[in-house]
Amino acid sequence: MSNGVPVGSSPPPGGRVLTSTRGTSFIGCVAVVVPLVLVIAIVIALNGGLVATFFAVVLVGVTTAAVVLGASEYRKWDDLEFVLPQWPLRLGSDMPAELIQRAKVAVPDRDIPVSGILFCREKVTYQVGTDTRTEKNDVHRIPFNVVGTVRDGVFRTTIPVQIPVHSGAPTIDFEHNEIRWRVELDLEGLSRLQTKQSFELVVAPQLSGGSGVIQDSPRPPA
Amino acid sequence: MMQRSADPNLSIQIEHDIAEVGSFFACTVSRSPTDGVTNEPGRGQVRGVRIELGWSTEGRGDTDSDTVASLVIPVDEFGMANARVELPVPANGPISYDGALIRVRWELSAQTDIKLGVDQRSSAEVLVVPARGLGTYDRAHPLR
Repeated sequence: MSNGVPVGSSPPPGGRVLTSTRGTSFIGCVAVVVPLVLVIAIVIALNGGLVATFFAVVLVGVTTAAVVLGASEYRKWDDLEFVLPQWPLRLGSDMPAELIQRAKVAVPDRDIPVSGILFCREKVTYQVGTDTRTEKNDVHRIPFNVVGTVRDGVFRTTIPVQIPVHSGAPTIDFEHNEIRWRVELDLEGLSRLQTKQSFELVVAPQLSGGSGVIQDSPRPPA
Repeated sequence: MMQRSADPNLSIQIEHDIAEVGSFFACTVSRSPTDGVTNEPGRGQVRGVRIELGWSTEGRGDTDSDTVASLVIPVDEFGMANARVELPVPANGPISYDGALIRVRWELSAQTDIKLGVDQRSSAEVLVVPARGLGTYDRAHPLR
């Protein structure tokens, strides 16, 4: 069902629209869980008595209800979009990014609290004997809380995206060493299906506007 | 910046040891003749001087590295060379970085290629900064 709002945002000049993978996650989850539950239910039913068969039927019933409920939520909303006015981001970038999600069915107007975190993570892998070990460290974290609104079937809010010059680093993606920027969002109250969303950002090795000094490790607070 | 070399006859003069991504490092490579030895074909012949620019990681993770530019400067019949070269830094970096688990170091190296002999290598650390970051470099970098 259309709500009159065009589906899919156009990226602003020099910007980009990132889309969540909500639908893929739901379908993937169903594809794994449903066959697994069916197999378990059949095994229980074949090897047990009347009580076991009853539990198998309950298990199938609960799973079916969960899938139907999930599918109904899945059909309510399009994928979440994160509209960035600049891409890739730069050291010192400071801009508002828009979060948009369009409803496919009629939904009531309301306010939705959004909490989230923007972080820069170093991730390394190393070999110890035959084991490959991984270590992660967040060198920069900025939490934020904003309020979004659902009006006329469209959820919108603005997220502050600030890439500091003094902590973190431009994105790197080597075989054993990575630096990645990510925004993680919690949209509890918008949809019962997958309230946590995340988007990977790319930060280029470029200072935004002449904003200061060379990139290096975090400075202790003054 | 003058760099002393493992090869006593080789000197490398780096014009600026800081460069932005997308620009280049310029250096002058000079090799004086080997004392009392002609550079004739055979064992010990100096075949050229290889200049390389590359980065490598240090820290908790296994090492990643890459050579982003390299060239060979020919020597004359006396083993002499004198050339100014420019080695480009890729626009996508990486930049020099000193983080919690990862360091990224850049190095400019010179290696004298000696036939049937041990090549003599020397290197100097250089600094790669973000684009538009050169004019605003205002303090000692933690990598130094």
